[in-house]
Amino acid sequence: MSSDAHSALERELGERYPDGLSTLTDEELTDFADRLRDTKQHQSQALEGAIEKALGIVPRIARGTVRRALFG
Amino acid sequence: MSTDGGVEIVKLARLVSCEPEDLRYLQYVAPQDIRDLREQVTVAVFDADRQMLQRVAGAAKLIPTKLAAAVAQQALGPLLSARVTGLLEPPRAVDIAARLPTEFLADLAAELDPRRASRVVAEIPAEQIAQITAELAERGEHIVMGGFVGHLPEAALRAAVETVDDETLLLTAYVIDAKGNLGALVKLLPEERLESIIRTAHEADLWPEALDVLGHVSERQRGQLGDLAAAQDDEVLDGMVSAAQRDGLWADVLPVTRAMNPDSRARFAKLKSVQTRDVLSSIVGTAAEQGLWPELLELLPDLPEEARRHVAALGADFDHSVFEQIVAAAQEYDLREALDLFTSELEPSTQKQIAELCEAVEGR
Repeated sequence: MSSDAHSALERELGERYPDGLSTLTDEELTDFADRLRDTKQHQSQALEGAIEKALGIVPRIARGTVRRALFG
Repeated sequence: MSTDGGVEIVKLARLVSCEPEDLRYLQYVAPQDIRDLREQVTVAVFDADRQMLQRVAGAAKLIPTKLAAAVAQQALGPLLSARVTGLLEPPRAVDIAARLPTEFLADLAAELDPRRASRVVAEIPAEQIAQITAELAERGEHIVMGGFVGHLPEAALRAAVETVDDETLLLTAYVIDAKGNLGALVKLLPEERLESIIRTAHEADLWPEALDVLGHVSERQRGQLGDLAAAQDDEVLDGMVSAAQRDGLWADVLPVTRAMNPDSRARFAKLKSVQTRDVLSSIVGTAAEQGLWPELLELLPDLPEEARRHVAALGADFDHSVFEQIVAAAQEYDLREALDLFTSELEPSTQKQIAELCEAVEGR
């Protein structure tokens, strides 16, 4: 296993992965790291979009308070 | 791949938004390692947006419940709502959930890690849990339902169990997240329901699932369920024998026969389907592979003479070390009479060998 594939997954997880995964090939480790990275990116994008949408639902009178709670 | 491994891959695939087949390279990884990886992924995905998710939960406190429910449904959607759920104060989350349609809550449940929102899950009223359960059952979401079992209080669990049919209950119990909770689940079920589930195991060919469940309950419950099974028609028990033979499940069946009461065990041993040479060979083979000698010795006196003779013939070629195990099991579990019965069918030289082993064990 190359250190690139190994560290890509650990970077996405933020910690060392379980020892049992050491049987995976570089391609498999990279595939899983890519999926995890994509999941996080999609979630962040979805959250951004959802917050914009939510502010559109909140009545104008409360929008300022909610916006401050969300963005400081 | 084991069932546990397969279930873990399905859960992990859902977390990273892909099909289980896309992660087929994990099939040879131990289930516990996949489970640990899933926990790491859950934390990593949550941590990626932790600050903003916490702010969303904080903002939800500032608006009326009805509006928070509208935001959850129309803006956040089930996935992000699931992420926020565990960050809300439980009473607030329960109030919001009360205003959301069951279909949305079922979608949310499918995305929720119950371990991260167990305080909220525990406070959802039993009636609403039953409605969500019915929706999940309709969708065949057994793994999702199985994840919640250990987090529901008794009233909610009871309501959920009463909502689903026997087949759904068996399939859910089979993939339950923490098998240690199966005992509590079985304890909730009245005897008539347990009998009905046993018949369903037969009719729907779900013996592998039922026997797996039996392997994870207490010895007393295993005995109770075994007795209920033994009270069924021959057809039901023959179905269990046939499934055990077909799928190699004798290691699951033998502990059940041992936990049964003597009458039930005798009834099981007298089944024609048990007395075939193939089945007896499988039973003895499994006892030898898995060290299930107390289970075999317990069953032996109830077998008809011809079947007993066949068991002894199968054991005639055992190594000395195997006879040592058998003698030790007989000594430890007070099964000396059964051992004598077994020995009496063997060649004199083997009988002598076993007698010496008995003397050695008793002399210790």
